[in-house]
Amino acid sequence: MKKNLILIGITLLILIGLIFAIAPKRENQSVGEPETPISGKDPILPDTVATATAPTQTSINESESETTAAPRKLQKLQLPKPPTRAEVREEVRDNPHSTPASLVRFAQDTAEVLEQLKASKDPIQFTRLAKALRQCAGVPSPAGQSLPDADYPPQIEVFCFQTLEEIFNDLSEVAGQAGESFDAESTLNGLRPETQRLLKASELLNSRLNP
Amino acid sequence: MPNLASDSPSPLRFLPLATLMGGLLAMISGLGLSGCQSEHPLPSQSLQARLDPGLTEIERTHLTRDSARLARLDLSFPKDRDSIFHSVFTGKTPSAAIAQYLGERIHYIFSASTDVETLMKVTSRLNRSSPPPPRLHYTAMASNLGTPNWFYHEKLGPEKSNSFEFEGQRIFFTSSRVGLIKLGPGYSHGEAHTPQLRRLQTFIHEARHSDCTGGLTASDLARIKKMELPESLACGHRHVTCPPDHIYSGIRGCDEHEWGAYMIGAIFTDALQNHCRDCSYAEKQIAKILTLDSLQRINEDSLSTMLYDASSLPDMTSSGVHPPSQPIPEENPS
Repeated sequence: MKKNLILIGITLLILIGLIFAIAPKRENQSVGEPETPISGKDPILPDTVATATAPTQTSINESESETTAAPRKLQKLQLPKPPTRAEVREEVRDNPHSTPASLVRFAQDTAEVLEQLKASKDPIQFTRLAKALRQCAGVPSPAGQSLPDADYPPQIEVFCFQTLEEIFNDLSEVAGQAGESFDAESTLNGLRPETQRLLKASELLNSRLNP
Repeated sequence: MPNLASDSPSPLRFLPLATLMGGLLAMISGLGLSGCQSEHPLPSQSLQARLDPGLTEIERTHLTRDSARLARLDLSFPKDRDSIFHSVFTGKTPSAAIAQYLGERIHYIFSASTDVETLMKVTSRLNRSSPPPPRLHYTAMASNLGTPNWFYHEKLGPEKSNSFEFEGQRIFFTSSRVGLIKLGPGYSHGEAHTPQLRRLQTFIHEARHSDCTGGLTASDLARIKKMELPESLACGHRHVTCPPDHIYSGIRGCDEHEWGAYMIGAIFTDALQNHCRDCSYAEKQIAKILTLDSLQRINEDSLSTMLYDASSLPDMTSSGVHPPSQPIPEENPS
């Protein structure tokens, strides 16, 4: 009888041990990046962009990540899908005087992604987001020197361009690790004329606010 | 030239013609003369406007929060620099300056659900066959009804023009700065759709429509008398149709004069983006896109004048009719 009780006790202890051993693995799997890509497609815009209304990023519990010994993989950071010219125009047709909600939502969702990038300081994520921001800003590709096909409003293109500048300034070390560089002055000339105009106006306004 | 009597969209961005005419028709039909009976001031000092008792719970909550936020906005500018911000918002501290700016221009805030037009008393016999006023789109944030009603006041005189009752007092539109704001349905949307900064910018923008910069000339008054809009865009800071090559081409949502409502809004949001010490990162990003959208709506010549010429400063005063006693001949109805 005693032997049976001891055996049952040991079995229970082993089971509990097994449960504890398996649990953290499951958690890691839920937040980790897949080991292999699902397809051979470019993981950046436009195929895998998140929708502006439903950001796909899972926020990271900062306090947890600080106390975890082993570094956890971040979920793949993606730039939210920017609204197109047609979408923004449609909104303004309905409500002519307010900033379209889709623009505001894009800025809000992008901020969330950038905060995660700044927290992670991950060169791979940096490269991915920098590429997405270049496309969103309408920066010509280095090889073809042609503008991307995307048809984004100038507000979005300038927003992305300025955000690109910002991450290269704020995360210069990470950019270096990622082998990325960005020359705003030379890139500027490749932008659409209306985007250049708005960018210039934005810079001039800043200079009048900070003479 | 735009005509007040036309059925086409009115250049009065803050009060489409149909709204005004329909409102007048409703009032003429005797739909109601009941006014607001009690004052509901906001607890903090930024938005000192009197509030419509008919405000919904959400509107009241948003207004209280927005006013409190404006009152404690922590904007920091280098002390030895003369920023354009201080030419627009004048006061001891930036938040006090914003409060002063709003306090001079917004005095009454009505609910989106209150039929403001029916609260107004009018005895004029303007266009009885006008269509009913269109409802504001569900995303619209707010409209400033003060200046267009002041135009009518100047056209019809105090005996015939619009007025409304508030706390047992009859309020006449004796100046563009009566500052009557009607909230739109969009103001009550949740934070995801309408973040607080978007609401704050709306008040800054709408407040500018209370300014009749440069005043109304006698010839402008004569135009109003003929149901035409004044030539001066700066009186009421009216918006214009965006030009053909613009992303919003054909839509009446642009400014072609200097220091209009979009520019003042842009100065406010740019200050938030670059000088706000208690704004979150997400709020600064929102401020950035709000600034860009405002700048995008201003025509290039005006932008050049305002931004390239450091001596160009906004006139933040508001005037009445010049000369004030100029009589306007009565139009022959035929």
